[in-house]
Amino acid sequence: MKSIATTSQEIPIDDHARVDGSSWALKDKLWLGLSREEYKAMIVRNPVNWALFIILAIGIPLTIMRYFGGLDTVTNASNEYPWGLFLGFGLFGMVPLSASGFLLGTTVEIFGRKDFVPIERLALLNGLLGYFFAVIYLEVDLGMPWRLPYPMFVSLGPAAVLFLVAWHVATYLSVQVAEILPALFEWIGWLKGKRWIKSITIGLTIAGIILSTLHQGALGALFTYAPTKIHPLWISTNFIWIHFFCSAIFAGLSMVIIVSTMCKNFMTWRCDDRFLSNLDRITIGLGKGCAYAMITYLVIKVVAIAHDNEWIYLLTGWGQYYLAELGLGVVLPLLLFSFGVKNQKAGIIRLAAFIAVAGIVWNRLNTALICFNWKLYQEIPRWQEVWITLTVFAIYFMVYRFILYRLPILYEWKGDK
Amino acid sequence: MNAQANKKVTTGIILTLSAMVLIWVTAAFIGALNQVDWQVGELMRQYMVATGMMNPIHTLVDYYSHIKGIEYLICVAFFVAFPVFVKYINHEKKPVPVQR
Repeated sequence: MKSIATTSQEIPIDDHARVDGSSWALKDKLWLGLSREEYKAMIVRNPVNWALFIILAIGIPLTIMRYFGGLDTVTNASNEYPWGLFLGFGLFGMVPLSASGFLLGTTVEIFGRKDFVPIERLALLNGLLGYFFAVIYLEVDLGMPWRLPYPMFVSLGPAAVLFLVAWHVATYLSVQVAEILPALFEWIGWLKGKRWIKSITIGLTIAGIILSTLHQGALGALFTYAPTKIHPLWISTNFIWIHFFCSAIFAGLSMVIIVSTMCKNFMTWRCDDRFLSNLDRITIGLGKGCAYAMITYLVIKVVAIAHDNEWIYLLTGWGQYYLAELGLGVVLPLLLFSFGVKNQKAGIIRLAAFIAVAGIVWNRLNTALICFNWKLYQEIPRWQEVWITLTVFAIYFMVYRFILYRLPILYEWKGDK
Repeated sequence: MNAQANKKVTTGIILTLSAMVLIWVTAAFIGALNQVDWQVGELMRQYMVATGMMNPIHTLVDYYSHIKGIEYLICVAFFVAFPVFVKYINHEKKPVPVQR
């Protein structure tokens, strides 16, 4: 794509009109203004596509096998270990990484920080796709998509955390779709729709804050269903909800830093000057938010140990593992974020963001899988489970890239807005 | 004595005192480790017992008095540390003046 972008005058499409004055048809926009042969050549030339092809070629038959043969054909799931990688990584890991939507929405629309506008849509898209694919992972785990509305409408349990999570994720997903629609409407040229969405932006953003803050915490509270199964260091019945919520703040911001870094390096042709020239400044601003959230998270983790009086566990092997998670996943990126912000070094902040994201996924895997049933045997996921997880992530990557190539997320639409 | 010389003397005194404290702490730490057969975990346990972080708890009131005490200390420390941290990372670097 990069080479075609540099040789062609007509792409990237950022306006309804062509250079000669005629209009782009929707089909042309979907094909990025390329002929079928050029588009095919672009796909074949990119080595990332070959890697994706290999992942999907093995992963899709495995996923079909899971639906027809049941969960036990591809996972080691059991009554003792009901949550494997699909939920441990896909749901509990992806949701905090998707907190970017409400964070940047609040920053720009509520706090009026217009200096973060160039990255707002990327954060909203990151939030939307992260949540959407968390639901897809949930679907792969549940295996019966038609039963998805059950916790919301059929088995009504208003006092249950799962009831709250189901409703919040569903409504927040709708809110996020609405928040990203203006980009689609600009792209297809339906300005009436965009104006209507814009008129309810504040309402959408506030709904996003309420729903997102509550269900990020509720996902943590979900573990209070099994308080004796999880190692005491990873569950504090009083504090786990705020651990999950607070960690989602720096996880979401770090994920936006990572995605924007990848776009800057591998999708430069699609970014406009406004995005590229502001990115380092915005990265430092996001890094500052991460540093504040991380130091707060670190302190409330220690407060939880004090509250539950679990100091003795720190002296065990599990305790050292816990300290390793806190040290590598929180303290190290916290130091790097602080150093990067203080010395205005965007590169250090990007490195810290990568470590922070790995750290938060590690924490969720520890809580849902590794430290779950710590007194029993350790469940090791089967390779098929790992591969299906990778397959869904590959599809997430492809959808993300498909949208970024087309919609005005990384660039400003030059046509009517 | 001029201001420059005063500064040098003060810096020297602080550095010497710091070095002495460091040597003392290192010696104490190594000595303590030697006494517990080089087990870091055991040393931490003894430290926690000595400082009251781990102590026998008989009643719920004991328990809450104990955990709340430590929680409040952590929270107060954080209330002091957080503004300092914010000030630290927002502190703009000033260019170092070139002395000729």
